[in-house]
Amino acid sequence: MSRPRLEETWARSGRMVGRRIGDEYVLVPLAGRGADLDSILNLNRVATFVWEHLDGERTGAAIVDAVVERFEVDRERAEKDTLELLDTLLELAAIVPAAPGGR
Amino acid sequence: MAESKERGLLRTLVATGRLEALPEGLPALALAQAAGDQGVAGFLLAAVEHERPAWAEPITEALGARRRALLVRTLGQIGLAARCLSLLEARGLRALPLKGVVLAETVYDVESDRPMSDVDLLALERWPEAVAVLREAGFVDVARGDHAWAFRDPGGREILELHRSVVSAPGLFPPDPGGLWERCRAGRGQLSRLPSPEDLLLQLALHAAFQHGLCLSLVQWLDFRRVLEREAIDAGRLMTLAARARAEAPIGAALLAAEAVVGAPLPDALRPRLPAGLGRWLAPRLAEPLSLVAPSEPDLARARWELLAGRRAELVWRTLVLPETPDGDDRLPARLAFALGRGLRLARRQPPEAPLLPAHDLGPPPAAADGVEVPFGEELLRDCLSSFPHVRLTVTGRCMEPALGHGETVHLVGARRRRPRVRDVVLARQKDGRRLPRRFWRPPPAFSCSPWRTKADRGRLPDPPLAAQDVLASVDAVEGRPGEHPRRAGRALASLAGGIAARLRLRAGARAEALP
Repeated sequence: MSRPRLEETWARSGRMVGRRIGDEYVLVPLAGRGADLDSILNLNRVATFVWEHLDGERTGAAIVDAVVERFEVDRERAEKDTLELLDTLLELAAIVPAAPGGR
Repeated sequence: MAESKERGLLRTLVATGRLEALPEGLPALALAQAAGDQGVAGFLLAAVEHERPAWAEPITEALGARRRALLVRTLGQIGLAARCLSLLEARGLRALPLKGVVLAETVYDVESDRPMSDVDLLALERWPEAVAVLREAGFVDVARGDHAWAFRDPGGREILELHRSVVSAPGLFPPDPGGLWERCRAGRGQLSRLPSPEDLLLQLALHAAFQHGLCLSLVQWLDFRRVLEREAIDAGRLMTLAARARAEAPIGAALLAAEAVVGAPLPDALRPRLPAGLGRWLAPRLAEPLSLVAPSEPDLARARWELLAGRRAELVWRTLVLPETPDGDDRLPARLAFALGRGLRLARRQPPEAPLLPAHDLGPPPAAADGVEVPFGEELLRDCLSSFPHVRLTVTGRCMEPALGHGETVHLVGARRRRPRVRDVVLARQKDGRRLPRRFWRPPPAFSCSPWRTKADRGRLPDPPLAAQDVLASVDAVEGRPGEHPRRAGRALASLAGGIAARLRLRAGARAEALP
């Protein structure tokens, strides 16, 4: 599987459910036979922001723009962290590629 | 009673949103455990995270971990319901999700706020085919009642209850399959179809009033409030459905109870006029809301009697004489035998016992080599034992041979349904938390306060003394051995004699060692 690039567009897959519970945000993979406790993923504030913007319409670059605008972080760091997160989510099949400009 | 303090504090929290100071002498851990037992641990954690009281520091992390685990489990349970509904739909069988899975997906902020011990589905048609579909998919029967059968999912992690109706004695409040299907709505999560809000509320009310005698956990009462607050309930439509199901009294009583326990907002249009007897019976309970919160003992027979005012002959007929099980023998002699047996059991029914042990007091899971393997949690086992006439379990040890062999499947009857008798083989919870099959020896009547005793047939000595509530169920039958009951006098006496002899030998040995 190739690594994600910022010019690509990604959408959340139905295999992963994101829930805000109290002060934390978790991703729970829905496996073939129900949810999997071992694969639960805790997201920090920035990762939660990215996850919520993976709507199948915005490119990775657009999401990085939004991150830089919303958080006190330089663009280089935001790009690196966003790509790392996309890579992790892709490995977990939590995101799927979408056509640019909408699903 | 400390336990009531915990429930009282939690009820106030759920009803008003106010987290009161921890009463003196009440450990925060006990409160957290009670919140888990009542299904409102998420509610407590949200309050603790908001107000951050110092006393809650030791429990915050554990509550957070529990919430994450519950989220995973509940999502898995909803997924299980969705898969089963798809299996049934693929065979052209209509079915809908019931209660917990629906509520978790619709009226709670997050699924972990609505924990459930099992998954409920309502089969709307062709019951035998629906059962066959589940069996073909690898589901295993574990218990049968007249209104639902319970299955263990192929992964062995969850219990699925396939219902024919919401409550026992299905004919009393006949379900309306066609109407339920017509009124159902599309789901937005894992469940593609959901019952209408009015049907959901009616089902909750029947379950609360008739099935549980208006004694529920706090989260089950909270369900009513959430549905009334978050669903657009058409009061006229609800009352029409209730009248059609002959369930005006149950829904009226349940709504009043939910208002008393958790402050459910009851619109005037839904404020009921109850039958006089039901109103008199209910009034003191509404004044003491904790009496409506488990583990308070429901007066189930009286509750049903009052709910069915004007239909009591039908209640008696459907409870005692008419076995409404799909595979029941409906010939007259079988019905009369059933009625006689059930009447005798009810007549011998023991008075309410002390509350069941909370789940946190459980020991480690059973060792497979030593006794009965309990494939799901004790909370669920107790729930099954109280909800169903029989529960099936597989024996995996040899401590009770030849009465029970390794790999044999036994039918258990809950201790509350049938009082264990001397010589019965029972499922007993040992001091170390293991649940094992044992021969049961009751203390003599003169020593009724004495601890209860059990012994393995192949064990040398009796087990350590047990409390009454540690005897969970008795073995009623062994599959594949028709006509043979494990409660055989010869085996039992031989086992007891062996135990006494071993004890005497031990004492004699100890005395000999003590002699100079």
